[in-house]
Amino acid sequence: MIDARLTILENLRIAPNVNILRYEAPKEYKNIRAGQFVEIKSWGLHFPFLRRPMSVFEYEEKYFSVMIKIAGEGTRQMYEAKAGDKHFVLGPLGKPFNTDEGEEFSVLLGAGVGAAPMLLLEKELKKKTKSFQTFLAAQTKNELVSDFFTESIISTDDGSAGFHGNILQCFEANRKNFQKKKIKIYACGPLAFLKAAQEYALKNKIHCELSLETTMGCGFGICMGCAVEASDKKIYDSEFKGMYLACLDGPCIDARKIKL
Amino acid sequence: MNEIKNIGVDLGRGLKPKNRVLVASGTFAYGKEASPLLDLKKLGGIVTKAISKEPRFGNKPERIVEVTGGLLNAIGLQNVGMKKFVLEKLPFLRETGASIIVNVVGWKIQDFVDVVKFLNDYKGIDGYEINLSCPNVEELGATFCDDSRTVKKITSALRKTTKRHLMIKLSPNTNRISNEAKIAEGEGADSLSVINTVVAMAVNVWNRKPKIKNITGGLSGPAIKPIALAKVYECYKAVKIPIVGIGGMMNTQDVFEFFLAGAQAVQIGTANFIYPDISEKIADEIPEFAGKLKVEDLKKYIGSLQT
Repeated sequence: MIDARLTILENLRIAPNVNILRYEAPKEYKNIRAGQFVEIKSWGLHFPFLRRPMSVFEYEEKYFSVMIKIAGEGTRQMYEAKAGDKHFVLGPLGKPFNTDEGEEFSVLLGAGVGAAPMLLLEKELKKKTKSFQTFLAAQTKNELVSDFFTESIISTDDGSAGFHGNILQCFEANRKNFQKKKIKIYACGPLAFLKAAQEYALKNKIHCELSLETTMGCGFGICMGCAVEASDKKIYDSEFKGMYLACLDGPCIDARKIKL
Repeated sequence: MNEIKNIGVDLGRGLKPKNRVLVASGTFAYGKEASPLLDLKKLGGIVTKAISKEPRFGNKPERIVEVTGGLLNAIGLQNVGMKKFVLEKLPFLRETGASIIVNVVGWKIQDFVDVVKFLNDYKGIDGYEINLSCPNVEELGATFCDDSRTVKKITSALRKTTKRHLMIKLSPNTNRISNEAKIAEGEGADSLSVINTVVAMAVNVWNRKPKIKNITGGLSGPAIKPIALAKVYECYKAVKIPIVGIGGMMNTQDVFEFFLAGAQAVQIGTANFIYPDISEKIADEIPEFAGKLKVEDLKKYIGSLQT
């Protein structure tokens, strides 16, 4: 991982509140994995103060990108950034998705900005000749980034495109298509969605890996601010007790290991 | 350009950092985590995460929240405990080439003594920083930490327990920090680190909840620099033992402000989260900045505030 001042090559406005920022890619990003993130700062020491963690969306040799949905002052400033601006970017960070777990079929659930790690994940699964289906969801049609994906099943909360309902309902509606396969779910999105995905996976005994959504301080393990509780022993019998750190033990982590 | 004198500092009783820039406890974990991002050898010293007798899980989320010009934290003193520390963390720290100061925390006086006694048997520890000011842990409460009598009892007990350097970390959340400073000096402390975080709060007007689980937390970052400077100055005037300044430094000029107020050395904390190599950069920049101030001997600049 390195910290570098990187130039913005392009700011693609997807919606009035969603954009893709493409940065020049340092050579150190060559082996970046799906599910890893970067910590970005483009402001002074007033407010915002800390960096913001963003999953990496695209990686090509010359650039990588992050996906932003405006949620506050930091993301608002990142939405308004211009090509040519330079941002401090620390990365790649975190534990990526584990694509070596022997499932027959992968289900990618990218809710809202949770779509971010799914593009690289598709790439990795394709390389390993693993079959998969990507589901993408947004509140409304214009926030979808499905154009970046070759074939995704989409859903919108307001029904403006695709399935009318949330991503899990959409998955349930399509479930019959992968009935007899040993499935693994990869889930990324807002905390409420992660909780629902975790509950769904545990209830249906489906293996599931989550990309955690937490407040982060440093993003690389020195502040211990991004703690996530380990689950009760009756859910997952591991020796580990206490707190995981989302930036070191995650963000990608087995859904059974944690209490959300 | 002539060599600047006294880049390094002798803080007493064997603690002689090669330069006056250390990294603060709780902001650098156990050293290894940040090692890919900066050259630890360039640091004067590393103060470890607070080590307690037994391992601690720390507080439940939310532990931190960003505020204007800083950060509120209630991590809850999560640490691996003294036994795992010496087995798993100390070996790496020994090899860094920086002075190693272990921050020690306890819940009773005996806890502090037990930890220091245990650590005494291990090489590579150049001193102990005693965490007497802990706004983030429920069991401790304000009275224990901020009580002058506690400072007296703990410093006295620890002075009897170790020949190593004892740095007492003082809280700003007291009426008069110079009282605690004088008491610590009187009981044999070798130095004081000033200040720990400031008790503070952040609330959400929409859901009517505090933004961190612990309700209050410790404020750090640029927002507290003016407070820290005042406390450093107050202590500098009150005692003869060295003061190590902590509080909101983000760059080399900030560090010189603390030198001016009387700090012999500084600890960089929250800045590490935002600029991982900032402490190395600052250490590198000190000679040049001294040159700009036409300072040939750092020792002569320290405490030279003209009042």
